[in-house]
This record gives sequence, C-alpha cells and structure tokens, in this order.
Amino acid sequence: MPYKFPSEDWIKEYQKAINTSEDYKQSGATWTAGSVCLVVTANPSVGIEKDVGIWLGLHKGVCEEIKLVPLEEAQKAPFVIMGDYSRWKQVVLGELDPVQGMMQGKLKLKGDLPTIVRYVRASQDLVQCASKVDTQFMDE
Amino acid sequence: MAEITILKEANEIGLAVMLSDLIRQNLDQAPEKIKLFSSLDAKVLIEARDIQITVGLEFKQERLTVSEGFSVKPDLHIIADSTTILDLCLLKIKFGLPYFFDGAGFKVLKKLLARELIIKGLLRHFPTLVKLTKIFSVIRD
Repeated sequence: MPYKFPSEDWIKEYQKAINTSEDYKQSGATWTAGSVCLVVTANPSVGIEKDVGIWLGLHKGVCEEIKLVPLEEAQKAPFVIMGDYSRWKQVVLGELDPVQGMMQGKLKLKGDLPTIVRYVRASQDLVQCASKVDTQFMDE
Repeated sequence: MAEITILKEANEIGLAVMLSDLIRQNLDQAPEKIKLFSSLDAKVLIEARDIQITVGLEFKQERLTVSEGFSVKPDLHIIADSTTILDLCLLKIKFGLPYFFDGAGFKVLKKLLARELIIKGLLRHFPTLVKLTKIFSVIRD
C-alpha cells in the first residue's frame, strides 16, 4: 500500500525502513550529533500549504523518534536539509544523491559541515531507506 | 579571524557555500589551522565533474575568496566526482603529511592511481596541497 509523501503514515514507514537497514546501522553507528530535520518547502500546487519538517531523532544508528514538525521547530534541529517538493521527490525516488543535491544547491544544508562530511555514507544510507518506502506522491 | 568571502556569482553554487562553511567551521574548531590558512597564497580550482560544477578558491593575504573559477591557470586543479572531493576531507594528517595507510587514505590513493582523482600541479605545488589538505581535514586527533 503506497503512503502519501509527506504524511504521518509515510514517516512511520520511513522509520521502520531506517531501523531495519543494516547499512545505516553500520554507517550511523557512531552518530551522536543529534537530530536531523528534512524540510519540504511549501508548495500549494501539490497541497503543501506550509513548510513541513520530517524530524529524525537519530542516535547511534537508530532512528529513535520521527515526527512531522512546522518550520519553527524544524530549525531547532542541529542539522537541517531544506528543499522543495520536486527535489525531495527525486531524492525519495533515488534520482538525486543528497550529497550531489547539496553541492548543486538543490538542497540547502544548515549545520556543522565537518560532522556531515564525516557521515556522508550515513546520509546516503538514510536516503536509500526513504526509497524503500512505497510512496505515493501528491502530484501524481 | 580568517576572512572568507563568497563572490555573488558563486552564492547559489552549493559546493562553493559548502567549502567555505567547511573551512570556516574547521578553523573555528581547530584554531591551530588559522596559521596555515594565513600562510596560503594560492589559486585552487575544484571541479566536481559528475555534477559539472567548478569552484575557485583564492587564498591571499590571510583571506579566502570563493568564486566560480579563474581566468588564469590555477596553482592546483583538483578534478574528481563530488563524493571523492569530500573523501579528501577525511584524510588524516600524520607527521605533518596526509596519511594514506588507513581506510580513507587508501581509498583516496586508489582513486589517484586510477585517475578518478586528478590533481594538476600536485608535484609543483606539493606544499600548498599539504596545507590545503590540513585545512580541509575534518578528522580530529
């Protein structure tokens, strides 16, 4: 059954995918730098009226918490990756590597770069988990 | 305090913003690198060929200017895919030199030998490359 992206159901499936990923368990095993928030910017044409954040409470290779949050809360995360709906759609479909997306300016990153660089593999594995969720996109 | 400026034209290039943030945060977290930064006098071109993005770094008089590139030949020209460029930041420094005998170092060395990583000016500007690697390295002792 496909889950609408982004939605409460989708993020629950995403959390399951992260916590069953052997790759992420390994690449994120030493991550203690705090939460990461993926922000999908508002796009009324696909039904996203306000910026919405997917808050990932990550710790040592486990996603302990996942929730949808408004922008104000999202910005409190130590790491925030922001992009519009079409970019996240490409990411979820595995068409856009998050590192390439950040380097191209398609995704904007806020947070400690040296830490992100040390965990490039983990960020790629996290995204790989998103592509495992059976997803229904709001513009389809 | 190190002065880092991104030229207007490069402001929308993610790689330019990332590299300047990375250097700024590295200098904040490891102030001993400021001396190295200040001593650099070089033009470095970084080309991420998989995403067709080029960024110019000009170190001069204790300042760094980040641009879209140069009209003159740079001292160092680093060509690689985007992930490999970040791999360079994972090099450990041992005895004052980049260390190639661990996982991250060996990966970079292999890419150099396979020409997946090309560094033009490597021999001629080796001391500059070493300084640059130290400034970029995110590995703490």
